[in-house]
Amino acid sequence: MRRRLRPIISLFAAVGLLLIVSRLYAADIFLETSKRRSEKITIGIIPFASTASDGGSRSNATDMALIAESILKADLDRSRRFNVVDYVNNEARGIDLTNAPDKKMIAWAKKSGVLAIAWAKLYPSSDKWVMEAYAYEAGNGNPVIRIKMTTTDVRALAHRFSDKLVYYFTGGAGVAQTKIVYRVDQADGRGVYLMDYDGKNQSRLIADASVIFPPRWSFDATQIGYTEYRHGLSNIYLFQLATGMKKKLFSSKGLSFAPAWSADGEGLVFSSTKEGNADLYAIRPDGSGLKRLTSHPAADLSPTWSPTGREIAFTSDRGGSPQIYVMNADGGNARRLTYSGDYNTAAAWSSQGNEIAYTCRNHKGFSKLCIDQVQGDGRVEVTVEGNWDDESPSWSPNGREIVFTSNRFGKNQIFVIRPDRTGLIRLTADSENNVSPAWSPQ
Amino acid sequence: MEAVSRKRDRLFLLFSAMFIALLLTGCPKKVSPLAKTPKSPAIINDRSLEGGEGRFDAPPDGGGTATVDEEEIPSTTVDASAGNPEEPVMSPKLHGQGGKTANLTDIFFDYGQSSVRSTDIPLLEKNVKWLLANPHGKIEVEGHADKRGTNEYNLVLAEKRARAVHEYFVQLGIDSSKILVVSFGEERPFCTVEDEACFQENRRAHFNVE
Repeated sequence: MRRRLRPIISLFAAVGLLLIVSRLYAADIFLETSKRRSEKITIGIIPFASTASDGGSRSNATDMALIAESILKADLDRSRRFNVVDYVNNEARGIDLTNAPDKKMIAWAKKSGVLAIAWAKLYPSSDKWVMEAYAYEAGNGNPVIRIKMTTTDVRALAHRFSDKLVYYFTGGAGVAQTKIVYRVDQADGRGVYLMDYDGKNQSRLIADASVIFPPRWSFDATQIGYTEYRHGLSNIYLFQLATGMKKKLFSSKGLSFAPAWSADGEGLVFSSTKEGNADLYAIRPDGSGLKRLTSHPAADLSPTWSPTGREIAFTSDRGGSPQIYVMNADGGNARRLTYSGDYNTAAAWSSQGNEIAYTCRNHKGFSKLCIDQVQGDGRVEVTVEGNWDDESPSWSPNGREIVFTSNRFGKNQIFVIRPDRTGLIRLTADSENNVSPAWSPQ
Repeated sequence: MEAVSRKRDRLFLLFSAMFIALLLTGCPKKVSPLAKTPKSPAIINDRSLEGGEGRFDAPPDGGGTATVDEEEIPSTTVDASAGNPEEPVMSPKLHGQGGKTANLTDIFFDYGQSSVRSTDIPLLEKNVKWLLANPHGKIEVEGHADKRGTNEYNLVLAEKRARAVHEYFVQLGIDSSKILVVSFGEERPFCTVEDEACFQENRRAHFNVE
């Protein structure tokens, strides 16, 4: 019996060995592929062309084309998914760089080592600008993007082109068209402001000195939730970006503020001291269905939703000091997340996964930015040193950047930084106190 | 002879078992890129160029966020006045003017604390005495915090301070309906110097009486 078994077992073992080896080989391929995915795509930007409008007055189309081109390059660079090759200063022997890329130009660009080529033509049309945007795969010269876009703001056209390139070549959504809402707290001009993700187009949305709470985006980026607070009474309003009208969501005595929207738009959660101490309440966007979520005598505030909508992270000092807690969306199963330090607040849950950014404190007592993983250990200190305060983090929708406020240069200004501490960008630079930034969800 | 072959059989079985175990545990996960459809704001007139089929060409006849012939013009600047506040917001008082309003002294708090210091109770009693002796309208108790810490948490902390004072006032005989509790968090500092002395001056309850 055993005699016959042995060959069968050896065959089995040989097959097993083969499979093991092939799996290891597959693992190598997997690693190679993922490494390639995180490598940057080399893209060549052919200088944008411009024409004056037909039959119209001579315009500053040339300037606008240059602006659009530089914005595109900056956006692609900031996305960290592209190596941007600039052909402006390159000597292009015999290559005409003033027209739409043809086969000859594409072949020449391919020789210079790019995988993709982008080019656009800009011209005015009545009171708007038109951008005809093209992108090609250098390998086969195939046009992969051919789009005509029309709008009043040239910057918006360039940002949109960037997002299209990011999406086509990386599969992920770009954030160049996203906005940041924030508060200005200065004697003149208090209120809620809006700006592009690169700090441009700063404009006041809501002029109201009584707004002292962080403004919050709706899930679809069409509304801003904010509070008007006067004489100890709070009114939470939903400001409609498209119409400029405000809609009252909730009123109460005391502080009711900073509503957080779930990703599906069904529920809002905010904090209110209407019953004495600060607790979290849920409400529907139409103002109905008020439900109390926490009833602990301690202060519970600053809610932020998980991307699944199943959990809420928030600040609570029920343990004696303000810390970040996580609970189910219905208010149950609250458990503590942060254990380092005696001051952890202002949680912001990334829409891309289980990272929560928040304001922590360094050993000198200054506010800093930290990130915790919801599962498991691992607290990352994004900013650490410096005798200044970094506060109020908010994630970009692709989870790759954090906008925050810092008084490192005197007044509070809005900055952007990456979780790996690189990519610090300053978005506001004025004599105001610019605080409480919130990044649009799309 | 028998014993040796039995040993070899066992070895074969052992190795086979190991291989099977490795087989079962060695599966690399396939990762697919998150190819999310971007929710592009449908505010820009987006048209695919003639003769081309790009990824972002609008699907024929309706559907998708970037539809052909969309005429809407986006407006990034919306002038929306939410109305002027009925009363001007209290501006920070000049340093050195003292924190008294209508003979009511400010009360100060310890760092991170909202309870009234026992040493301040006589001050509160003095304030109440004045209020009871003089006719007045609404009493506004403002809670404040120093700048350290986050805005939201300081708003809640400052309100707790104002509420604590409100409690004492009520206990000492003031009509609760005449007291209004207001919080300004760290937003309306009394002073802006970066030292402990100034921080202490900002951790206060301040009074306004009609």
